[in-house]
Amino acid sequence: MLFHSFQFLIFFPIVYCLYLILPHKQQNRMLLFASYVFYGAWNWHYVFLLFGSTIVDYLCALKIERSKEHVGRKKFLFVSILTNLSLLGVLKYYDFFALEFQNFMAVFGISVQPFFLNFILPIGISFYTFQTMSYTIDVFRGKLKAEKNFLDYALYVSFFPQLIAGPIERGTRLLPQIQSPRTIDLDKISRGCYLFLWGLFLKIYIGDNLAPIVESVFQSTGPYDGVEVLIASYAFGFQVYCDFAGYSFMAIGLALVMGIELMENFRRPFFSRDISDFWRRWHISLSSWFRDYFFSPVYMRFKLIPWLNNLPLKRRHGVVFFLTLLVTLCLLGFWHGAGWNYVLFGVYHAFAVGFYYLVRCSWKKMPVWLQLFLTFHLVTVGWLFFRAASVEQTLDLFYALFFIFHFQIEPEFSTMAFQAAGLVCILLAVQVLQEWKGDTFVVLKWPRPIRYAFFILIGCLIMIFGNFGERPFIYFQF
Amino acid sequence: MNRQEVTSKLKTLIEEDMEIEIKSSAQELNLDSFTMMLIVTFLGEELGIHLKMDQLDFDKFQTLDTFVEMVMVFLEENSVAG
Repeated sequence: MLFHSFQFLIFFPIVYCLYLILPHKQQNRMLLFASYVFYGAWNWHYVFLLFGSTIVDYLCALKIERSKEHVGRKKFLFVSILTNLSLLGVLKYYDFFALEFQNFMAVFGISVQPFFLNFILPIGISFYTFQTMSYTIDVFRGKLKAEKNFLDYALYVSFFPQLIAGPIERGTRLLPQIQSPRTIDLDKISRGCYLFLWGLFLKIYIGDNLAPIVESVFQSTGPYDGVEVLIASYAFGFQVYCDFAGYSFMAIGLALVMGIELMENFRRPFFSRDISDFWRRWHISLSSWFRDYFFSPVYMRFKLIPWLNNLPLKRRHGVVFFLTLLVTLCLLGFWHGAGWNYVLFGVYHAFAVGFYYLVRCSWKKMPVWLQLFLTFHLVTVGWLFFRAASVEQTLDLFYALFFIFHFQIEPEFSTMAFQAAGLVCILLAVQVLQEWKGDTFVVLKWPRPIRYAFFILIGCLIMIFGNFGERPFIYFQF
Repeated sequence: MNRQEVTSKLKTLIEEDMEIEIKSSAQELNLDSFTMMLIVTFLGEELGIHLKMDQLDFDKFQTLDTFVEMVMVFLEENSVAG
């Protein structure tokens, strides 16, 4: 059930009307039921996985809190993490590793026929498993009390606006909003409606209409031209942003009209001044998850490595930081999909960030426009790994990008490129204002006639040019 | 170690690493994870303050004051416990 589908058009008004008339506790029960209906609409079988993961982490968190001994607490934390990672690992990565094992053995002339699960990845599993793990880890760290009310906890896990593709919420943020009555006022409704409309505009007007130019290059087997690869990479950067950020804005908007504030997930990443800044603006809920639950604890362990003790503090820190970053970003890349190209995406960004920290002070002395330009292009090149179908295609695209320039672009491609440029103009214009004012809701502060004209404009663009063909969200595949 | 000493050491560390001048201890520093973890390592090795994971809050520690406050609380708790 996509947010811009006919089914959702029926689903949400019913849910919202009930939400407005029910008291707090009944609101939660209704939302829980609605969330499971929402999830079950994709595939009812996977509701059991969601429920199973919910039960395990609910019980583990209670056990963690009740255990007096540190060993006991660690044991239940381990159970929670192992359950969630096993679920994710088996359903998402087993077939990949089985195939890699088969290919590896073939190198030695040994033919093996591993068993393949051939499961379709349950939608949202990469998101809700991380969300539940963050909960048990926070309980273990003492940042959060374990939720005793199972139904409230289940709602935290399954809350439908963010269940399928995030933002990956934290128990410290979302649970208190579930536990306490929400207030809905005109400000939240207007902000929520604006975010939903803006997200819809990004997704079906810009994002989906950029798909043809992206696919014309990335779904081709070659030969590739460097100019076309570059333009298609620019287009993909905007497409994946509009697709994913569009979904996030819609999710946040839906939650907001219900009085629930979800975390910001994208903060104008095209205005990143450096690659480290990019990762504080792009998929914030995931990057901060990895920072808090993987990078930091692993850094604390790595810095205890004995052979580093002889190095001066800053050099030791630099080595440990880079090693930890490399592992973290490889895993972050791999989270996106079972493919080596995603790992390479992580490796690329680790080296880009590492390089930035080496030259950080000089970088910051550059003119801001140059920082923006270089960062944008560093990120664009990284998208080649992300969008390519395989490592082989990635290498071909890279080769073309740097060595093959015919400067004879096909007229059809040229037309698509100009159309793509036109599509992103409104996005960039609004984001320039948002960045300048440091306010996502700057549009809502415009004088009423201008504000309404803007809404009518984007509404018309959605209705006339919007791609209502229900092209799936790119991040649903993760 | 008193507050002034802690403030001075941390100020020097951050100024050298980020090549900035900290004019006020309440100044927003916009620390990135590189400098944040350098501070964590420095606290551990130079001041003997080994932070636990639940004390590391990237969003909270963005001014010199917040770091110094955390250090002083830690030192006070440990001197009471000692």
